[in-house]
Amino acid sequence: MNYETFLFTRNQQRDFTAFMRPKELTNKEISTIASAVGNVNDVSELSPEWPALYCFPIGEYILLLRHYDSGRTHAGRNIPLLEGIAVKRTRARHFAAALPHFLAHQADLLAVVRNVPDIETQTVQKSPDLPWPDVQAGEAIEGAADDSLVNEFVARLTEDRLFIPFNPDGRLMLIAALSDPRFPSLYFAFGTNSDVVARLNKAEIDIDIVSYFNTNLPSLRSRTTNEITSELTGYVSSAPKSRPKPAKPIKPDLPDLPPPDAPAPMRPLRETRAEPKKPHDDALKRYDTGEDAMLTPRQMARKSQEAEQQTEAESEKSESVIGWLGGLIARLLGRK
Amino acid sequence: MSLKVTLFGGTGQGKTTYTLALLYLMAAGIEGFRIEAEDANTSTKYLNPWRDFVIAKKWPAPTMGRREDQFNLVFQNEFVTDFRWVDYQGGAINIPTDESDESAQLHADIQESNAVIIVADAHTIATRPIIEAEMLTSSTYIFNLLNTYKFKEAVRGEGINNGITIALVLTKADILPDEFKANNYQGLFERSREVFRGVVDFVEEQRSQTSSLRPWLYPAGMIPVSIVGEGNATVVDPGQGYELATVSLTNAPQPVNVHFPFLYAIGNELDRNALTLEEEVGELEERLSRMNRNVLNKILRGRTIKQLHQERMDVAETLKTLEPKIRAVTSVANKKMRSLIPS
Repeated sequence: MNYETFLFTRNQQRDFTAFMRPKELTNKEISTIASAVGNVNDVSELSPEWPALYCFPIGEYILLLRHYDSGRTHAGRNIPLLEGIAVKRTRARHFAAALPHFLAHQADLLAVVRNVPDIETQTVQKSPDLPWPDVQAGEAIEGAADDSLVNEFVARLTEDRLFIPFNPDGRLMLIAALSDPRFPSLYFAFGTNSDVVARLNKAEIDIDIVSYFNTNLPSLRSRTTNEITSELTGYVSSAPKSRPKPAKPIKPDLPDLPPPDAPAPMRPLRETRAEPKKPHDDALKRYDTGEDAMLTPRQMARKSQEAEQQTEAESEKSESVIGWLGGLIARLLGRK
Repeated sequence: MSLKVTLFGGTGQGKTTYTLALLYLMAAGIEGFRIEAEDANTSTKYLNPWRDFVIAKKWPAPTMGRREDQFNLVFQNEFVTDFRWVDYQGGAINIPTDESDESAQLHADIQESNAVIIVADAHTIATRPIIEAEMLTSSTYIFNLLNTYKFKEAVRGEGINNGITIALVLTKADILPDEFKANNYQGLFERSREVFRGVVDFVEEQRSQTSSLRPWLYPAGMIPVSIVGEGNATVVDPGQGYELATVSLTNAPQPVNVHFPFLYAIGNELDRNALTLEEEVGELEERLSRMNRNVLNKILRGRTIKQLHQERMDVAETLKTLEPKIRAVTSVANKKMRSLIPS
C-alpha cells in the first residue's frame, strides 16, 4: 500500500497553491479545501507541535491534514500551512486502522514541508507514491479521558456528532475513538470553527468528530439541529488550562500590575495631550471631488448628445453665415 | 433585478480587509444604506474576523480560495437591488486556469459581472517604481482579464451594449507620503492612472468621438480609501521585492470612504440599466408613432399597437420605480469618485 502527500501554502511569488498535490486530486477539490480551511481567521495559536487536524474524504481520496502557522508572513499577515497525506478511498479500512498511529506521530508523518528544500523556490508538483510506513497496531493510549461518551457515540453515530475540547484531553479522546474497532472510518476536524464545518458540509463532506476552538465540554450533538443530546458530566480537564503554544515568543513581557486596591496611576498631562497634527493628517476626511464629481452613464450619454447637437447647430450656423457673406460679397460686386 | 459584483486585485492589496470593513459598515447602515445577508450566519462569518481586527488589532488572514455570498441593498428600509458578492484570493489573477479552480472561476465571474471592484494598494502605487507597482498590484493582469472578457468582445461588435462599471479602490491611503495626499490626492490619482494605464487607455479611447462604442457604458471611477483612518497605523517595514509594506495598527480603526466605491458600482450599474430601458421606451414610441401615421395599419395591426402600448407602459413603470433608487445611490457615490480618465 502507498500514500501520496499534500502541501498547501503560499510563498512570496505565488499566492495559496497546492505545491504538492496527489495525482488525482482536482483543482476544484483543492479549491473546496482552501475555501473551507480559509475560514480560520487566526492561525497564530496553531504550531507544528500543536496543529489543527483534519481527516475527510474528497474526490478519489481520504486526506489526513494538519493546519498551522508557517511562521512566515506576507504583508504583515501570518501565512498558514496545510499539509498531510492522501490515501485512495479504496484503502479506507486499512487507513482507518492506521489513523491513531498517524496522529500519534503526526509531527513526523505529516510533515511534508520538511522535505521541501526551499519553499520560496518550490513549484507545483504531483506527489510521488510513497511506501506505507511501519504502523504499530494497538498503541497504548495513556491518560485517555472517561470513555463513556465514546461508548454512547457508537450507538448514536448516525444521528449525532462527537464534540471534544481542543486540548490534549480532546486529542486523546479523538485517538481513543479512532482506535475503537466498533466504528467504521471516522472523519474529524480537530481545532476548527463552524464556518469550516459548514463549508465542508456544503461540499457533502460529513464530519463525525468536531472540536471547535471554543469547545470546552465533551458532548454529543445532533447532526441535524446541533443541539446537545448528551454531555460528559463531571468532566474536568486534566490538561493544563492553556494548550501547548508555538515556541516563538508572541508578546513582549508586560510590566508588573499594581496591587488591586492601589489607585490607578495618573498619566502625566504631557502624555494625554494630543500630538500636533501633521499638514495632511485629515486629508481623507477632507477629501472632496468638488466639480470633478462623476457623471452617471445617462448623464454622460445626454451630455454627449447635447455636445453633438451643439456641434451640428454650430456647423449649420457657420454654413448660413458663410452663405450670407457670400451673398453680401456678390451684391457688393454688383452680381445678382 | 440581480447584479453581480466581483471584487479582485493582486495579492496583499487589501481585498479581505476592505470587504470586512464594507460589510461591517453596511450591516449597521450608513447614509441610509444597509446591506442584508441572505442569512444571519453569512453576516457573522464576516463580522467575526472584523471583530478580531478591531479588538485584537490583527490583520485578517489572507483569503484562501473564493467566497460568494448573496446580499440585498436597502435604502431607508426600501429594497434597492440584490447582488452577488464574489471575493477572491489575490493570486487567482496570475495563475493559469488549468492550475487553479479559483483562477478558472475568476475568468467566468468577470465575464458574468455587471460591475467589478478592483482593489489596489495606494502605498505600493505611490512608493514603488511604476513597473514594480504594476506587477505588485497586478494591473497588467487585470487589464488582460478585462480586455479578454469585456473590452475585446465590444470592439468586435459582440455584446456592444454590455459594458461594465469599474470602481478602483485605492487602499491604505492613510499611510501615503504627504505629497500624494496634497491637492485632494492629485499625485495619487495621476500615478494610479499610469499604473492602470491599460484600463485607462481603453476607456479613454471609447470616449473619443471616432469610436463606435458608447463610452457611457464603461463608467470608471477611483477613490482613496482607508480601513484604519488617518494616524491609526504605522509602516513598520516599507517592504522590498515581493514583500509589501508591513503595517501595524496602533489605534482603533476608523474606516473612511469605504462605502463609496461599492455604491458607485451598484448605482452606475442600475443607471446603465435605466439607460437601456429609456432606449427601449424610445424605440417603442418610435414604432408606435410610425404606425399611427397609417390608419390602415392601425386597423389591420390594432393588436400589435395595443401590445406595444402595454409594453411601453410596463417599461416606463419599471423605469419609474428604478429612478428614485438610482438617484439615492448615485447622488451619494458619484460625488466622491474621481474619473479614471484624466479630464
